[in-house]
Amino acid sequence: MLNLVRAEILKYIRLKLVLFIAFAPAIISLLVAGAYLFMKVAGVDFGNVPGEVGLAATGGGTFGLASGFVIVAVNGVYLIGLVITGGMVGSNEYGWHTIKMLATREPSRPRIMLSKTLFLLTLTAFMAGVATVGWLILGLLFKALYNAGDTGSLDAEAIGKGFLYLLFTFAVNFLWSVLAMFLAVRFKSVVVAIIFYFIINTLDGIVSTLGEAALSGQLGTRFPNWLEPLINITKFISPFLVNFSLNQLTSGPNNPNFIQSISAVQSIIVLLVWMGLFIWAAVAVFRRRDITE
Amino acid sequence: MNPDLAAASTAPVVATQALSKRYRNNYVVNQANLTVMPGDVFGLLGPNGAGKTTIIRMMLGLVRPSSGRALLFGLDIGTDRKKILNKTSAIVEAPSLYPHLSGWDNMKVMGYTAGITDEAKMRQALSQMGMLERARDKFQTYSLGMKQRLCIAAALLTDPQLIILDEPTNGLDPAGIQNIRELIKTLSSQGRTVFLSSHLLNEVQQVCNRVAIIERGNIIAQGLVEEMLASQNNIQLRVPQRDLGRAVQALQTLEFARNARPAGEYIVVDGAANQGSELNRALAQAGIYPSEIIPRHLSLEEFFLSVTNQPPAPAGYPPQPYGAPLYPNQPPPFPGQPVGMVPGYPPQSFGQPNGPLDQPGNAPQFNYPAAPPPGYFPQAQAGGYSPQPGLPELRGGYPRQQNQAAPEPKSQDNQKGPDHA
Repeated sequence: MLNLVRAEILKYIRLKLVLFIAFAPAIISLLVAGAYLFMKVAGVDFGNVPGEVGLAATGGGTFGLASGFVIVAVNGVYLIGLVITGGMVGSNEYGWHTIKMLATREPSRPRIMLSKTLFLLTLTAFMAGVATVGWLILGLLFKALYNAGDTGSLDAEAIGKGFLYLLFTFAVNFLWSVLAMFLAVRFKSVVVAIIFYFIINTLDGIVSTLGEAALSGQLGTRFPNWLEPLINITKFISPFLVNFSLNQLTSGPNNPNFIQSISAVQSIIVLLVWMGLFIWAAVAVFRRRDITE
Repeated sequence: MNPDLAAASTAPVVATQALSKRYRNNYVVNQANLTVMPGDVFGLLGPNGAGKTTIIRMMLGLVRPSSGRALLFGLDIGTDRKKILNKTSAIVEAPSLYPHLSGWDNMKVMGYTAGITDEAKMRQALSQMGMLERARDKFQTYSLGMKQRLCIAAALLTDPQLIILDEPTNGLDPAGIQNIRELIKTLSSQGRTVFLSSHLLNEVQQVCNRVAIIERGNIIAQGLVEEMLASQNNIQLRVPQRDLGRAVQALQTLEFARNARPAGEYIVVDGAANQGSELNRALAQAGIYPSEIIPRHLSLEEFFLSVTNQPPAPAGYPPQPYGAPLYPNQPPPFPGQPVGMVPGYPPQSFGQPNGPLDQPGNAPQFNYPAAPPPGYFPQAQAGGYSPQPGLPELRGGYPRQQNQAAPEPKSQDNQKGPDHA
């Protein structure tokens, strides 16, 4: 299996797009740092270190500010990058006509798909690592740019929250990239996979929003009681709601943008279940695939 | 020799049993029974769309057969795929590797995929295929022949006993074809069994020792190439009419010429196209000196055309190297002769004599049906190939027009014979 993952890494590390996605956190960190330095050179006085900022509330101080940039605000870029890569990992083999070749080789089809999943996991972990380095360096840079003073306790809290947020966020990103891989294997096309990804994501968003509105009474006081358990079930099984509940872990209790959702343990379990489901689906589809179809 | 090894060496490497694939109501492959022996270079011949690739896909477990099964190394691909693929390498359809990777990176990917990390082995495989110098170039910059060679190099990494190549010379220029031909010969000389599909008959004839011919999903003939063609060759000796009977008797004393028979001014000996000197010697010893000795070899292409009922060669099609000469008594062009057919193209090669030729005074009369092919004369099935069970035997002759009844043979002699009016 390790050799198969090595093969996958070798295949994709030579693709400029994948390299760009892998180093996106570093590029974003550099851009933010460059912009700040430019403003500093231009004579901007940044003043004192800001307090807790942003919806995700990943803490205050320079590290909280830096995580707001590198981890929270641009997570959509990482997410879509990983989704595209997940789609490519599934569909490129068809485009390159190598799926037939791979299917006539020694490794079993499940092992091929699992190696692709592990490659995505490796890429996600790599991106998370790069994001962490970028975030910490940016936090240190901000200390030099702002009038920092003693922010030891703030920093410790921000780094703790940031790591937790980063962990869950990239775990969810990985979940979506695995979904994209499954869709690409199913439809043999990265474009179709991404379209389906957006459809599923939108449906999830609608369910999430309606659920939130219903539970918070925004749908009216005559909201039928029997719908509540249904919403709770939907909330539990919907990955998008998982995303919300993960966000909630690091967000403030009064933040109206997040519903009170399931617990962290439940979130992690649901996340793992959905990952397993998508991986199994990809393996199952590929295993039964009649190459002539 | 170890009895197990002896048994193994005689067991077929590939044996398909009534292998069929049906898409909706259309049988792409119908009851295919193929046998490939160890060390064979086996050619699966057929026109495009005949079902060659589907058979290969079924052999590799890429496509599930509708019925029947494929046994490789005595194991069923449906149940023992992994064990079989451990000993097999295949290139199905176009050579496909990763276009953005160099040859070397591709080899590494293929090696890792097969669980091989030994770079020396990769280098050796590249070297064997003559690809070492271009290993650092990207796959997408390679010519088709180089791509094919790199794919074969990757296929060799696992040291396979069976190599399956689907249309390996497709799209190659003559030099590329020559390259692949040499490669296949090299693979065969290493003791590997090679299974290839092709519609390039000349190509197959040069590299394969065993072939099967497939048409519209049906295997219509298979066997050793030499035997297949030998069963269809003959030699024609022209002797004076007065010595005909004596000459036949003299020839029939030879073991290989017992089937010698008169046909007009000629004597025809089937399967003896390479025995001209022995026949000549036998006749000379009997005091008979033939004025012409005409060996006739059937090419695989002609054999293929005859068994697949393909249309005759187009205008300007070159006559066979051993083509029969024009005869003084050559009849006028037969009715319905295709326009542009080479003038004087061996009309002696087809048609049936009207009566037993071994009876005195019974000069052969020929019927000239509508569309005869060049260079092939209908011949009853002989050794060397076996038609698919349940399918017609070698049809021989030339394609009949639709709705045209098969001509009834008017004598027992339906062998190739010289033109005679």
